[in-house]
Amino acid sequence: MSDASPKVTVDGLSVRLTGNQILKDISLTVGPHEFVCIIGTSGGGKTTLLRAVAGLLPASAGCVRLDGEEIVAPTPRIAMVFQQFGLFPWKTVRANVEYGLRVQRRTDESGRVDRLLEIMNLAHVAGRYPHQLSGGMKQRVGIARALSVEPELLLLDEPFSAVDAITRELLQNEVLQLWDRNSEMTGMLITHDIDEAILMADRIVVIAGPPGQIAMQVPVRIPRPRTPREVRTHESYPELRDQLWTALRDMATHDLERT
Amino acid sequence: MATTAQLGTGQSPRRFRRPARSPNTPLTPATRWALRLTSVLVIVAAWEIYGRAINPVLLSSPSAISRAFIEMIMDGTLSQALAESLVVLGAGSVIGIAIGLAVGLAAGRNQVFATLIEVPLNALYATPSVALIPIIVVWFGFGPTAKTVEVILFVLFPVLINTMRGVQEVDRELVEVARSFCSGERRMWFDLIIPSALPYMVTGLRLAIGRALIGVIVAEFFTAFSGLGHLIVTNANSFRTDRTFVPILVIAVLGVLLTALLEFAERRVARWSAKD
Repeated sequence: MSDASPKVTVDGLSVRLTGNQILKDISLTVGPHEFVCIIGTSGGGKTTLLRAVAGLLPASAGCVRLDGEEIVAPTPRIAMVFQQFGLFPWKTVRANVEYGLRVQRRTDESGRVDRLLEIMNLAHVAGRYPHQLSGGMKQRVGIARALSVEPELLLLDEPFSAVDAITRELLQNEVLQLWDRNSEMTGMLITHDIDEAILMADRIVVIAGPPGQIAMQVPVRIPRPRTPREVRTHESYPELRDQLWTALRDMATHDLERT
Repeated sequence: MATTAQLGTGQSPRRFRRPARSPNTPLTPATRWALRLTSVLVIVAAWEIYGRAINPVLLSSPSAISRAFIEMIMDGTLSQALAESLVVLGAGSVIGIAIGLAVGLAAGRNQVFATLIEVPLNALYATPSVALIPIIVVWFGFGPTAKTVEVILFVLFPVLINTMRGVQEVDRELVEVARSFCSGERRMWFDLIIPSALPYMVTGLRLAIGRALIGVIVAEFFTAFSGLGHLIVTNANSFRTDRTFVPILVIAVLGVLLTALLEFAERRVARWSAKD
């Protein structure tokens, strides 16, 4: 899969914010059309890693490259889905989805926005405002907005953590299906949910911190297209889950002992 | 006490109180208006009865004030004074609001600028603007310019400070969203900063309008020989209490109307800004 040159290269990345070391010497590659899930306990620097990849935070050492080109500022080739949705409350659903295209001064000749509203089941609420929507619908808007700019790299920052369990599973399914349909995109998803990571990922990266460092990387060898049911009944599932659970549990208890 | 044989064993006898009332169920609009009308009628009637019983210099009465009102409209003093006050109020408010918005937006987005103006701003805001009137008279004389400057001082600070706060309170996640989609600074203002600061700005305006009215009247007491404030002072000085009340009531109505207008605007703006 990643025999060709990697899509994303994180090379010895360290990030300091207001004097605190948040990430320490992270090195990681993501192949073209690979979906990598980053998992870890809270406060371990997962979100900081994603923000650095997005070009929103400067590196204090090392760098992030997209197709070999160093990322020093946000680029239209990357789009992000936010944990708290990040919708503009004064814009309608349609205007929120169109937002990325408009700020990048791109026109929507192929009717992409309409198609995304259709795919994400948003067409009937296109004229509503975010506060009139449920959490699940809000995140559908957030995902549609990110996809509207046709990113090469899609970053998802705990996208399903602010919605209820049933909606979460529906949204996971929808993103899985979108993934299988789109062969161009590469993805990085942050989560603290082991099942979500196994369901979505081609490879799982465990981050321990602070300061955030890579503790473990495991591939997920479950064939796609996947459904939550198939994943849970797959023969490799119990062992994989156990392995991740042990790693995360040790991190959490280690944190407890330190404080 | 004989009736307090409770189920509890060994517990002190519980006394049941009447539960607190739930928040009032809203009155119907008809009841509401009837109550409002009643309160006004009662005040006017009481005033009329008491006012007729005592020396008219002390209180006067609603009927005498109405006659004075018509008189002052007929001889043109009221409309002239009202026009003079409104021109100053309008010009002062527009200039004050414009400066307040511009400086507030700039200071909200630029920490260096905000820190630079912090000390003089706080000092001026803490000083009652009335205290500056003698200085303003020295600089600008007794004419309408001095009144306008005073109104500007009254209006400027609530607008400036609220606007600045509104810009500073912009949702950080939305700033990240805008940056991640490669928004330029100008687009960020229109997509994000101005819409999110708008409710604060309108609140600033509402406070400013109330203060502008105070500013105009106080300035007219001390400086210009014109306007509603001047009308109050001259009539009071000649013990024409009925004629003194006329401009006072005009100001009251003006204040109520302007505040209602801005509260309406505030509610409209607040509708989408309601955080969930």
